[in-house]
Amino acid sequence: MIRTIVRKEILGNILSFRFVVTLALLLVVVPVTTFVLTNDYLKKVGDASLRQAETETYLRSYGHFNRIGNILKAAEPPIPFNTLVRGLSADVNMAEFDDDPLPVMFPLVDLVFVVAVLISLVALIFAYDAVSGEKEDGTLKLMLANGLARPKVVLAKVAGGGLTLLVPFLMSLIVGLLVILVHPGVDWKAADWGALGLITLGTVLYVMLFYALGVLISARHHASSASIMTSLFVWVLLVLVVPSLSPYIASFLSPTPSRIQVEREAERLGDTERDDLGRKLEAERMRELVAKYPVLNERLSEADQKRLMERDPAAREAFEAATKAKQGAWDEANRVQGDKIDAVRKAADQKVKAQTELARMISMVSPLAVFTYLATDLSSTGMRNEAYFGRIAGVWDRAFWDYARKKIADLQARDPATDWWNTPVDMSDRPRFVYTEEALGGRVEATMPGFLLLLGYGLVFFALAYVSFLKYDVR
Amino acid sequence: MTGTIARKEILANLLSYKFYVVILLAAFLVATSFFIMTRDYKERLADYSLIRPKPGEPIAVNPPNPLSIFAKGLDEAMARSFEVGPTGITVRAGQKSGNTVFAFFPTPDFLYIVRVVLSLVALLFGFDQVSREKEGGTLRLILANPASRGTVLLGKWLGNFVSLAVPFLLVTALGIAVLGLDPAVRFSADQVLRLALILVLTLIYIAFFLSLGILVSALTRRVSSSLVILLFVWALLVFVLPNLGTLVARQMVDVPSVRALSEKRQQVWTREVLLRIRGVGDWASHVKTISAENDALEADYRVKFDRLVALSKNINRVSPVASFIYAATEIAGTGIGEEGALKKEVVRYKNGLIDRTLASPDAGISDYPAFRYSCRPLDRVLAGGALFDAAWLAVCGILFFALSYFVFVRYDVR
Amino acid sequence: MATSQPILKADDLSMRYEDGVLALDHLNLDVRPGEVYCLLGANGAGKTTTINLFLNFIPPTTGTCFINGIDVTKDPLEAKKYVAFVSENVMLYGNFTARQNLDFFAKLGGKTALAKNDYYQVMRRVSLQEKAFDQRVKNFSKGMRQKLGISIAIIKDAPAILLDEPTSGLDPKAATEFLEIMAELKNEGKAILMSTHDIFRAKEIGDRVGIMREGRLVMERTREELQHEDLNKIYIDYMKSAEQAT
Repeated sequence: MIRTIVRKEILGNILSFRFVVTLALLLVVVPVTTFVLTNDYLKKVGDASLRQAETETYLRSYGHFNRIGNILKAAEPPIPFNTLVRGLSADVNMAEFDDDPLPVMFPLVDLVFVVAVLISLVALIFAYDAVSGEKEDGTLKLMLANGLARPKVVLAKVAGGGLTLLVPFLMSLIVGLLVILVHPGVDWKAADWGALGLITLGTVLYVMLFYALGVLISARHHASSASIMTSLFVWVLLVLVVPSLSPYIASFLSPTPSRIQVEREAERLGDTERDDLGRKLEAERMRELVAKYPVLNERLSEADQKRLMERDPAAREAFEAATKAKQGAWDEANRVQGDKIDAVRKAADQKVKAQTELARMISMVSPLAVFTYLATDLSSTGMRNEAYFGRIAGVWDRAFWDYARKKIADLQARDPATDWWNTPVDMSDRPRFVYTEEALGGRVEATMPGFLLLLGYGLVFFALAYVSFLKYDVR
Repeated sequence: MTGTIARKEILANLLSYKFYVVILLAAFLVATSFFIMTRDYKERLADYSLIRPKPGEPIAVNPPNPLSIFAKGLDEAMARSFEVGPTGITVRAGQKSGNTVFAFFPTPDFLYIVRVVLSLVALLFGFDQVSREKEGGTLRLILANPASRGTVLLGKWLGNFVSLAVPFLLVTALGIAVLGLDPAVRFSADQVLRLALILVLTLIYIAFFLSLGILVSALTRRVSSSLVILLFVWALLVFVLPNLGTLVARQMVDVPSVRALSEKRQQVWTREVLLRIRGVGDWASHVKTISAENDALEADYRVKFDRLVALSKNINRVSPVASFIYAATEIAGTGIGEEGALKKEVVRYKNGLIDRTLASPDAGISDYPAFRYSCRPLDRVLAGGALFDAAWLAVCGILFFALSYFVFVRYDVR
Repeated sequence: MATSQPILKADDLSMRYEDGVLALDHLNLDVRPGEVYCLLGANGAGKTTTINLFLNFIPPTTGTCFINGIDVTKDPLEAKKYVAFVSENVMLYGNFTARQNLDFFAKLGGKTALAKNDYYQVMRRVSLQEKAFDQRVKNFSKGMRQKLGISIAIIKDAPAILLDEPTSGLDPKAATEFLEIMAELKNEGKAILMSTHDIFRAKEIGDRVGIMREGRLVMERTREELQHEDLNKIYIDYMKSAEQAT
């Protein structure tokens, strides 16, 4: 019996106007987007290797260790997944003057966007009259009068409708993938396919969740015209509003000092406060020393001081002690303030982390946010990858500077006269930064909660739809 | 006759479930947006007071724009502080927050609410105007009277436009009034005028989507068909087209990437420093070389970037929504044009500083005038494209209305 | 009986649709003031098409419709001043009350200066319950909506009234009340054209009865003629032969 209803649902949907329109829309948008993104990716890859070559040429003539840090940096290369997903790798780069402001005004359309925004809308378009429409047409009465149990009906509706929805999405995804694979320059690896498969699974959960939500809303209205209004209202809130509001709500509930404030504080601690502390400590130590070496009390010009040091070994001891004490005082001041600065920065980082976590939590009220995090983390374009990249960049950075110091030491040993820090050196044996994506296992583990959450939402909506339908007045 | 129909539309809206859902949603969103964006603005203002340069500091910084509360646009980028010098221009204080969740989702400013939610609302008011009355049989009743089809359509349009515009303006005006009570937020007379213009632009935007909705309604016989087409068209116009257009433009115009540009600058600077250390040439000639090469890079980048912006604008304008974004951000002073003008001014400031240091290297720069930038005057903004965009939006609305008239005259009312 | 010029006149009216179907085949018919003309016929015989042509919802392929002597296709707005329309199965504006619906259509029909009491009077005349006057129409039964539809036509006070299946779905009491109102309107001098399936009521109220089949008016009888003939038998005979022919 369920099979019959499911078949009828599927058939009814496939033959409907909205199915055709959905299919047409997705079959155009997804391949076009992937085509454009693929070209963009290939261009970026070409650009990256060009820059690489330029850097090598430059290093041969001008590479010197003092300023090499400005030239050699760990950079994240474009990855094949960028043909489908953009995530945080979009070129919003506020750290440079010559930044490109367009992505701020017009964020990019990628697969995550298409699925998250368009397909959720499509799901609601298919579901909003699942119950109320059949009631209005009178067919609901007929079905139930034929002895169909209500639980079976609602189960079949969700299954049938959901399955139908997946058809246009999967078809357009396949076409999109063909577009990508046709381009010879894109190198998909096994891990990438694995990640894509998982993202597709996530999409299935996402679509079913919204479809169940649509059926739930439909089962709470007696007129389809009211049902669609509520559906759109809910959709706007969940998909468009909650995610955008979440970081602001989080910043309201869990405020952090802005970066500028932190830097100002660091500056203050490192400059004025350090100067004050340095002078204070210096004064303390000098007082002690003056008590021990009265000669220090005298105000001598530097020349006189020098002469006195040459004549009088006791004076020399005094002055050397004084210099050492002053140095020690300033060193301590630097250390103390350095610690304070570290503490301030650490505290700020903690706060930012807390706020980010809170924002994530709040945003995950919206299934769109859950799906976005899931897809970007699986495709190494999200927050997890940012943290991962930071770590491996740090590792390379340390390795490089170890190499630099060792090399300088070697060169210094061979030729102590030259200022090796400011002389071009052959660095072709340096450790190079190689970016590999985090292992799939790690990414999957991190996104497990996301999958479970999507599944959870789906089950809750389905349960509520089930209950609502059981009580639905079919007259 | 038109008046009778318009009045009936207004009354019908006031008595409908859909109207209250919409008003509630709009009011909540506008209020929340104003609250959030005002806080954001005040925080950035507080940051600005921290980074204001003292006399003699070679720093160019522009205060945040209060109109960014309504259209944030590129204001955060424009409020960065730039340290200028012989080596070029570096960003001293950039992004406000380390909370990456901000980067994932669009800013919920007034512009966003209007662009995304109000367009949907206007479509929802228009999409069943014809098909519903046909399905309900009332269209026949109306047309059995001496009311021409044009009158009916116009009456419907007017009635629904008023039903949309009046509550929306009221809610927005209330929000702005509350905002005005906040002493930290100060609008100049020019800014108030710009805000008024943005509101007018919003009304044109609503009118466009209402016309589109009515067109879709006149093209379909059943309400359910109207709905599906409408939602897809909305999704395409608001989300897909404006963003895809930029991407397409990038395929056609080669702009050096940000990273490539900064790498080149670093290379120039490092190379010159090295040469200086080696003793080749004097400091002034190095500075001149660096400056010249930087300027060349900058000029090249600017030319290509302007071409990209122009091309993407033209492609994006296929969707009048893009026109709305362009016009609103330019009028607010947070758009691409304004950002470009600011950058040009910063470069000029830098060059002036370099010339000064080269000319009198010992004089120091403590009396070098502070950086000052004022938004391009409104007439230049309008002439520079904002008026065109607004007109395009209006023309599209009129076009769609004319089309719906054309279609409705042939509509089968039986 | 009326002897003046017909208010409603169909002159050699033909209608062929785009798909080739001939819905009306040279129809000639007229309705005079103070006369009720009942148009009988199976579904698809052309009754509704006739009414649609009178209302200029579609243009005829050949022929002309006249309302009060005005060519409906040449000057539709003028012609529509003189006709009122009662549609079959109209939902009206559900969120409006009966009075608000009436107010809107009255204004459309040119009656802009009416007061609340005028509306109430008309609704009383069609026997709509008092308490329904200010209730939302979406809760009305079919009979109540029909009555409201008739009151909308009455308040226009036009010389001609077109009705499309006015008694379909009405219970016997409501149908009888409807006939009483038709009789009143007829006596006021209105020209009434009514399409219907209801042979019994057609016989009762119709001054003339016409039977349509496949777009043609195959038979027309006056009231006197019908006294002696059995309309039921004639109608069913024609329906049967129509079936045999197809």
